[in-house]
Amino acid sequence: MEIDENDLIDKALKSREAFEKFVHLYYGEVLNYIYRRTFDRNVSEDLTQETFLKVFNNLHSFKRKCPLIFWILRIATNVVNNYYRKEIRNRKQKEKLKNNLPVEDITQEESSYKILHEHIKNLKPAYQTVIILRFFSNASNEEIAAVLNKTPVTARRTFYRALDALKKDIEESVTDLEILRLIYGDKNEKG
Amino acid sequence: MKKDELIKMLEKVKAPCLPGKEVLWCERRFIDNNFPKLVQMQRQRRKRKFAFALVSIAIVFFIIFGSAALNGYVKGAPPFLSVFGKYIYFAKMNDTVVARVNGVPIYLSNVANEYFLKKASYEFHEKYYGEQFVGTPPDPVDILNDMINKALFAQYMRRKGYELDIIFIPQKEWFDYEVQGDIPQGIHLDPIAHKYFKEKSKIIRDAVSHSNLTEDEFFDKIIVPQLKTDEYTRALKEDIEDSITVPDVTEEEINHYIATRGKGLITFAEVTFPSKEEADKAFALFEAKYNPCYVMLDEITQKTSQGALTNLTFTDFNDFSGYLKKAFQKNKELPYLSEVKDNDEYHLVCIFNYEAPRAISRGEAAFLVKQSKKKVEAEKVISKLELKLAKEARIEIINKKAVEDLANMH
Repeated sequence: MEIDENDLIDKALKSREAFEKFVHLYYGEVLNYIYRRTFDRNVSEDLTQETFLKVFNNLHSFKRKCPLIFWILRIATNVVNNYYRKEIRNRKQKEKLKNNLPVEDITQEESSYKILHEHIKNLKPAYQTVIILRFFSNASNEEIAAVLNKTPVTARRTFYRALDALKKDIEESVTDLEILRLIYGDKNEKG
Repeated sequence: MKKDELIKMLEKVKAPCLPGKEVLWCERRFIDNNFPKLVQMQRQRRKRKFAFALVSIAIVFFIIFGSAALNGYVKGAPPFLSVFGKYIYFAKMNDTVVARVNGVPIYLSNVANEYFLKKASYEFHEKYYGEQFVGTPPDPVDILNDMINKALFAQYMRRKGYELDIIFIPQKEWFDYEVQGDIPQGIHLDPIAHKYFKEKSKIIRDAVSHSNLTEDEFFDKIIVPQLKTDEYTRALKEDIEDSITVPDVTEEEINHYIATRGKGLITFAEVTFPSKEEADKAFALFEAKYNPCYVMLDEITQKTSQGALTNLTFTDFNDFSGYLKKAFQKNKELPYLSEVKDNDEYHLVCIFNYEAPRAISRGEAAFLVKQSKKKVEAEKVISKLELKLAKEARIEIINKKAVEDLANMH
């Protein structure tokens, strides 16, 4: 069924039905995007809620120049970046965050992502966004540009810089590099 | 590790996803917790937007009228605001305190209210009746001093325990009529009084509309304090007059009184016509009106732009000039209009007031002298009290210049 975004935007705060439809359409994608950035279920839910509150409070200012999801992801990116800014300010909380990771609940896939995520988390917020969108949300360069609110050329440049930064960070941790090679590189070649 | 190697590696990583069920729970929680709240917030936002639009419009008007009023204050009255309205508006904006009496402020708007009403009354009546009937023009500094004195008296009376137990109902009713510009039923004003009522009504309405107060608030905040201080002052003067004992009246004083106060007084207006036809025509025209004398007075004033009334004192009826003597008729209800011929001239004469010279008995003269002496003595006591209170009080004149400037507004 084709969805008329404009109609949905206009009706979202007028009828509960449209509101539910709106949330259902975008909530999962945003929640998972934030989860990939924070790797914490509770934090993801909180930040997704914050994102959607901002979305609904600013829906009237959405200019409808790009698909709605990119606009929502842009807001989500800002929310996550703000969250990390606060985290950096409060190192204790950062430690708590690390310790709060529900390690026992995570799956094998999540466990292997966890190693990579630790390195992604060390990058600048813009680099994190680019890496997550490009590799884990399968966004195109144009879509990344829309989320970053930049031109595709700038988005591509940011992507390569992000890759360099991530490569450097992984290389600095010899053990992690070996594990990653074992999981994603060598294992595949062997297979 | 090469960059390509890293890209390949990253492409192989499977994106972690939260279980679909968990996502649905989150969605449900969000919907249930936030839909009513967000709808409410949207309503509030609309209201704020509406309020913002209103405030913006108000600010634009405020800037336009404020600058116009300021411009008028500095350069002269803009055409769309009366001096009084403009001034009240300006004074309100600044809420300027011009003086403090024992810490109680007197606002520029209060002085302006009193001054502009007195000024309007003076200018209006001076135009119709002439300077001798209306005295000297009001001065804003005198008005401020008078307000300070009245404030001192009011505070003194309160300290003495005098409780003012008056609700100004008739004054409020009359104020309402003035604001509405409607003359109450059953009251027939002569044309001049009618014009003044309309003029005053315009001034008051203008003042109310520019004061950001409702009619009731204007009456309570601007008029009532003035009425109260007047009432305290009146009560104080009465108290003092009652308590005064004056020395016995002397024979000399009685004689002097009889000699000076026994004179008669006639107040009249007249127009001279060269022919009987013209005089008859004018007479018929005025006579047809409800208040012929005031209509005539109005017409004379419009033509000559000056007061047309004359006051004449006399000791004997024979002091009158010929046409006045002819126009005068005893037992006729005042004011009345007469048409008389005198030395080939035709006169229309209106007699407004007449007090015959009278022989005052010595007893009456003694009583009146005593009353008059009481008043004089009371005035002396009041002046002394005024000085004493002023000496003891903390009177701060904060902005005399602003008060003086009221006189320069045209």
